[in-house]
Amino acid sequence: MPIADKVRIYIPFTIATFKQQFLAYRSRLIIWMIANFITVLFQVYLWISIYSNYEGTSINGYTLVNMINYIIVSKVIESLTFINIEPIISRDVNEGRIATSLIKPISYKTELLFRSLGNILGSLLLFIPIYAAMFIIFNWHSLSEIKLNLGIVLLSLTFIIISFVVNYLIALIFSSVIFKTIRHRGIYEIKKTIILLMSGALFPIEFYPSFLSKILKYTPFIYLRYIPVSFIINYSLSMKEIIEYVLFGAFWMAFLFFIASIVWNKMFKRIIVYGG
Amino acid sequence: MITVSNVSKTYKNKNTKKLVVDNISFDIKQGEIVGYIGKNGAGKSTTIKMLCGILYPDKGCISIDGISPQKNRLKSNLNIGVIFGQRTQLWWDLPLKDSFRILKAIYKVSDIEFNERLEYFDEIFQIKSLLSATVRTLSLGERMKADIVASLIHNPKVLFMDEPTIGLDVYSKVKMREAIQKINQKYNTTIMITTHDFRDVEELCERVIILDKGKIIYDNNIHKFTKKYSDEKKVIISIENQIQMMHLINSLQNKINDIDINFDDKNSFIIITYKKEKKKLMRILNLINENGDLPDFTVVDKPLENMIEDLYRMEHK
Repeated sequence: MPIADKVRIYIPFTIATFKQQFLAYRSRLIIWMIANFITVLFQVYLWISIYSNYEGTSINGYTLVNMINYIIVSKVIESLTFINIEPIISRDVNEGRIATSLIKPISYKTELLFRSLGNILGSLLLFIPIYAAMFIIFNWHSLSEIKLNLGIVLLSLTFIIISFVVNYLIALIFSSVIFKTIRHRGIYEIKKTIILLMSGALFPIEFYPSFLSKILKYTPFIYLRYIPVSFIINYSLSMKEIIEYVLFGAFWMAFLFFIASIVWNKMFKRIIVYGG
Repeated sequence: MITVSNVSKTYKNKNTKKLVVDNISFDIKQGEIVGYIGKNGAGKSTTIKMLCGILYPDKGCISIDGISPQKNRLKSNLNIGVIFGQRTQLWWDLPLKDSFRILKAIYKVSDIEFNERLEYFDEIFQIKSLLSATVRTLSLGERMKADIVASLIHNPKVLFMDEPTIGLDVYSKVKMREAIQKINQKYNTTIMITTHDFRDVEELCERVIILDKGKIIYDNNIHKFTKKYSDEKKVIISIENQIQMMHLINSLQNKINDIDINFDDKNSFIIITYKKEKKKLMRILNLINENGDLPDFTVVDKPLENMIEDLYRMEHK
């Protein structure tokens, strides 16, 4: 099978990146983990104080527990779909290291994909236990009400995969520009801000003005967070909506794949390797 | 094995255009070791990058084992190994064996072949003792050995070495040259070396291609080259006795024309530079012999480096 063959070629990149995090970047990883944890805690307490000063029990259809779950699951999805290829490309182009990738019979963007998977594995190992513990603590009284069946698990996985692919393709499109700018900082910050605001990473898009949340429903960004999170916390999605979202997700993946291929190949062709 | 025909490359910037490679053509047969030399900025690395499919030439075509690296980079690169002396293809933060494992997967090298090659490189480089070390902690010489093994783990038909001995000490350079020779003999690998160390070329290559300002100014056998350009030789004589030394210098100046004499009476040696001519060396040595017992002497060829200098000078006349 050609796909299995391909995976066998690239899997060592995942393993190497995973090992690298724990061998070389351990302290960085731990600091990152603590920073992330504090952000989540801060968000949770912000909502607790908002809800305690509010008359009703739910805002825009979300109870406090819904909200806390939204934040936690959003963070889990972030770890699961984490793509950080911009600094890698920037460093490779700047130091001319990209030449050593290009002399091999492999595709550079696939190499980047599998290196990202290594990062994800590393962060999962550190983050998931923390988020799982937080989830259990905040849902202590309603744990028995959580229903799990194969269908829900499979659909959750589907939405997470859509989120991952869309995230990877968006990263490819943005990082194509790095071949020209070389520095990644600006591009990376723009991308991060757009995603943060438009994907519903901080809070559900129902909290935006209604015209804005309507517009957002027609962008690929909500597939990064809002949709997988909403589905997983089991809130407000009907069967019809689920099918719609899966189909639209597939459409966005195909569309972004098309755009990414064009942009990436165009920028990739014009690279001139530095030095010499 | 390698065919380059009428290849040109210009680097374009906003305001400047720089012609780096100017209509070059050459053929390299399987199993040849070719020295590709020239000054900084002559276009050596640019050529190598085009041969690897990293850069696109503006004009002309390249084929490696019948495949165009530009049209089919992934397929062509299966046949190619590259060493960039100034950067590494190894994973800096990981044990060396992890880098090898990645390469093994990329090139789909079987376990048997992998182990056999590792054994072989262990013989010439003692590479096995380095396998568990983090690449960052290797010395430059060790890292270079590791890089060479990395670029040969898939037994490529063609090996490009961009300054493989840069930064190495004399002893390591000698070891490195021996290794390159052994690999060429065992696997019949076609090797193209760019270098600034002319000893590399003298000892490894039968053929040199010399590049200047993007143009090939010489492409032929290295011995023919040395024959043509080594028109000067030097005889170095050491004499303890100062009076004898002065006497010798006097008679040399009187009896033989067209020679240049430098002497150093503190360290007691004379350097005689002469143009190559029939029986000239014999006449010099006879004269020395007449002045007493024949002392210690050495005959030195003009260094290759100076010959290339001369070649450049001739080109720009």
